[in-house]
Amino acid sequence: MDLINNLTLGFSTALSLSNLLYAFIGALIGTLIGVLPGIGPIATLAMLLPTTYALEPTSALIMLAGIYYGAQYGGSTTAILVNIPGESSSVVTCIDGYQMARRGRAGSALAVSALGSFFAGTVGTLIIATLAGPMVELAFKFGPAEYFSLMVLGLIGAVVLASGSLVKAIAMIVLGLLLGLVGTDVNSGVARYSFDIPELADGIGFVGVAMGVFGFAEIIANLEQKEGERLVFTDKVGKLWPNRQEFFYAIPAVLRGTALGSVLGVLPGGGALLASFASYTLEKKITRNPDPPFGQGNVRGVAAPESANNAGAQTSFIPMLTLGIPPNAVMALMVGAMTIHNIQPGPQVMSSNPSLFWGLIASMWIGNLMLVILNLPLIGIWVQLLKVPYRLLYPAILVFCCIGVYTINNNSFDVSITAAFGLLGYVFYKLRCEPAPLILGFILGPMMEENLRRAMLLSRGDPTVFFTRPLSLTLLVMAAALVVIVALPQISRRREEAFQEVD
Amino acid sequence: MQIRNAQDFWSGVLFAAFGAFFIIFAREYDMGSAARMGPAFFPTMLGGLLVLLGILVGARSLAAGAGDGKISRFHFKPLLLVLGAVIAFGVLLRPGGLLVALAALVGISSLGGDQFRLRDVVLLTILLALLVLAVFIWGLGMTIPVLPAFMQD
Amino acid sequence: MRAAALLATLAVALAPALASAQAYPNRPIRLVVPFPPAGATDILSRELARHLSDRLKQQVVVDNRPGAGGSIGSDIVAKSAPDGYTIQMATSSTHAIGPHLNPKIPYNALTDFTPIAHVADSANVLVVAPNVKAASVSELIALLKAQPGGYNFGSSGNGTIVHLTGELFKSMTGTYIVHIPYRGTALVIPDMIGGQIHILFDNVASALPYLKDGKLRALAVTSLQPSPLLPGVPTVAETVPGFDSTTWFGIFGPKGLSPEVVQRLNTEVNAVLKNPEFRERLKTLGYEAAGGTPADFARVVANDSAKWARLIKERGITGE
Repeated sequence: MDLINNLTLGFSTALSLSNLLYAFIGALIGTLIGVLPGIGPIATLAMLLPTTYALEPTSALIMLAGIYYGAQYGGSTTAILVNIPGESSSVVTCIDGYQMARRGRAGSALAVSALGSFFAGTVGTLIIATLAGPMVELAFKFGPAEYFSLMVLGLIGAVVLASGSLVKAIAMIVLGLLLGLVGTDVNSGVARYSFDIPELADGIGFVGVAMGVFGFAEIIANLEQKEGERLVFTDKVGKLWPNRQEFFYAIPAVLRGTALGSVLGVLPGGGALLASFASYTLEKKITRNPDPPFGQGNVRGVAAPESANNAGAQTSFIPMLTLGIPPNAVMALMVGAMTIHNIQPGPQVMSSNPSLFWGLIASMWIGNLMLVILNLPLIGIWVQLLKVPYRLLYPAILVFCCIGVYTINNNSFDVSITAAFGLLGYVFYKLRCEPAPLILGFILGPMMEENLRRAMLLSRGDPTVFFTRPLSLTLLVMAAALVVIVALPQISRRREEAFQEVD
Repeated sequence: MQIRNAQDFWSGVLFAAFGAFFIIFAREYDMGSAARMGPAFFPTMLGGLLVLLGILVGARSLAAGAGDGKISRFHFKPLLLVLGAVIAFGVLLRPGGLLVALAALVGISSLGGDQFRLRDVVLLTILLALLVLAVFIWGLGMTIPVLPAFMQD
Repeated sequence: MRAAALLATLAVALAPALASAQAYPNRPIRLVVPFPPAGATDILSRELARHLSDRLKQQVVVDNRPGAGGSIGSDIVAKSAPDGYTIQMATSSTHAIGPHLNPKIPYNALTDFTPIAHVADSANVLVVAPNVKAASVSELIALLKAQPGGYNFGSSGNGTIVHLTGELFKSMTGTYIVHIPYRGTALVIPDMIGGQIHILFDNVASALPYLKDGKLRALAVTSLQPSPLLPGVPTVAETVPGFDSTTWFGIFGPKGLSPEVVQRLNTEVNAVLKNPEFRERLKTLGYEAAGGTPADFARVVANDSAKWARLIKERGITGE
């Protein structure tokens, strides 16, 4: 069968000794980059691009792909261990992953994350190999109106991320949306809320906000307790591996997350982001009586988003490979790498350079495999690291965070911004306002507005476009249904309270 | 009128304040119409929504079934020292170089904990400096000034 | 004894001054790139830096200072010491377009800088979507005139070259196309295939990958000469005389740079531009080597700036 032939070709290319070595180096570098908070795959890939000039194109791409995945895996590690999301897709992992760590289940969280990601990566690779064509067709049906409706759906789902007061969660989302609007407006070119500070003209960076609100606030909160009283994460560490119950709950979550992530990842411009928290929302809503409750260390809250975002990361290669459209900045770099080697990405790559194409696909899977092999033993090391006395650990975390933030733009201003959000994050902690919905609003806000205005521009001011286009209408109907599902428990609870008071 | 749930009350105030802030400063930009939205449209709508939500949260904190939301004490020492250390890092990095900034960061933030052992802090600084040099400067080749400005050529 | 000591002291004190006056460069040079790493400008700059380092026998180090459309990095260079050790890679958007869109830019593109060398040029290409029934520029113009306001063109943002090229086209052909800005041209492509955007004046290098596929078609290039990367594709100027939209890339230093330093750098850059390996690399990236004297460069920039200033004023485009 054609597929088998292609895969055989791919594997024979990818399994050459040198290519395996490059995959490993890439995965290793990527993991280190991902673990270091702040520095994203973009900066690293940029540094390493010249090195890859010297290599064979296939080897170069294999290494770059390894770095890309490695960074994804590494980002989850920091999310679980120190509540700092390495990438925007790791934000959701912080919620339950960090809580699992606090309960001494860090090893389990890391393992579930790695294994779930590997499974999702495998499925994702198969999808690329077989379904690339039809999936890309789906992506083309998504115009600005559809994206807007999808984001509305996503934002309503984001409300579910919070475990506390519904109204406060909504307010946090709205605040996040507003913060995301700081910066230059795409449609008019106006720099909003920048107060003539040039560094703000491009908006507040995600890393600064996430690090400040999640990471720094957490550190300050931890310092409230004296060294002796502080809950040490590893006191209760049992085995480093998930127990049977966790496995049992995690597996269906992984499957669902993978499915959701694979579909959403194909959408250029942010589909993969939605994948992780869409899957979290799904898990939370379909689980009856979760134990422990979501937000306090439920393994599903780690398994599903991690699988979703890895599946999304894989399928986001599809628009690039089939059309040459990079869905995000990292892919853009890989397109650049291909161009430098005189290979034009696009459907003709499949026919003109099959060993490259299939070799790359095969090596994606190998990259995932390497990462699992790399990361599982590392779990033991990470857990040991957590045993370091906190008074030594937190300055170290601060050092890596600050350097990481600085290197994004070589700009000290970014460091100050992170401090400001650290303050805000601490205030939120005191007021019991949950940060995760804020971050999601922050990410989605600008995209939502952009798509709304673009859809209106395209329809020449006709707002019914959101309802007349069938896909958009479907999404909005789903959003409305989601509102009901989300609000229902609250309404019925209030009714119960009301009834009790009457009694 | 009794503030039953302080956390929610002040959350409401915070939200309303932010909402107002965004609305006020949006006035500099063009509103446009619903069909052709200007840069001020979305922020103003959202700002208004946030103000309303803030009022709602605040009002409910005064009502009967508000639940208990006492705000625990603000620990200013770790707050100021940790954030101060971060700001010091940012300020010192260009003129002082990475090593100086790192030392300041570790030193000042360590004061924020409840146990400060000078020997440990010094050792930690040296260890981290070596680690950072290895990973960022040598390994990743990032252009961060290492030595203070007056010592650079 | 005292005299000897005095002479020795004088020698030590003067030596650094003498040294730097004689052997420029005697320490690494910082090439500020006001754009993020791995973008088009960055890759070009790194390539140049590599070759220049060889020729100057001193390291030329790229320092990325992105933000605010390139104005943060440019401002840093404008305010730095004119000793020849801080220079920047500039492009149309930082010195010929940006200043007209944003009066609040903290530097004066004309007076705060010393032009050093014109490195490369890149052109844009007029791409149309599958649902546009035009096979040439003149057919397109006819279509646009038949249905004013019925077509959309995408761009990578308000005030970018992609946008302004479109506006130039509208101005010189007397047509009306609705501008739909995006965050980057890559995001326009799906909507073009999906039929919502009809026209895009994309950068040649970015366009090559999807043009090969055939769904989106290149009608013409926007430079005065055809592009070697798109053989057989005519220029817009063949149908619209005088139409020229070329993005230039070049090196600037702060104002007050000594003529010797400028000459040295200019000579070396021109030498690099003749290097066959570098030219090959430029070609793959979609650029054409430029070169010339600092005065030539200054003229190119001034003309470009005037052209865009005129267009921006005429069309009332604002970036602020």
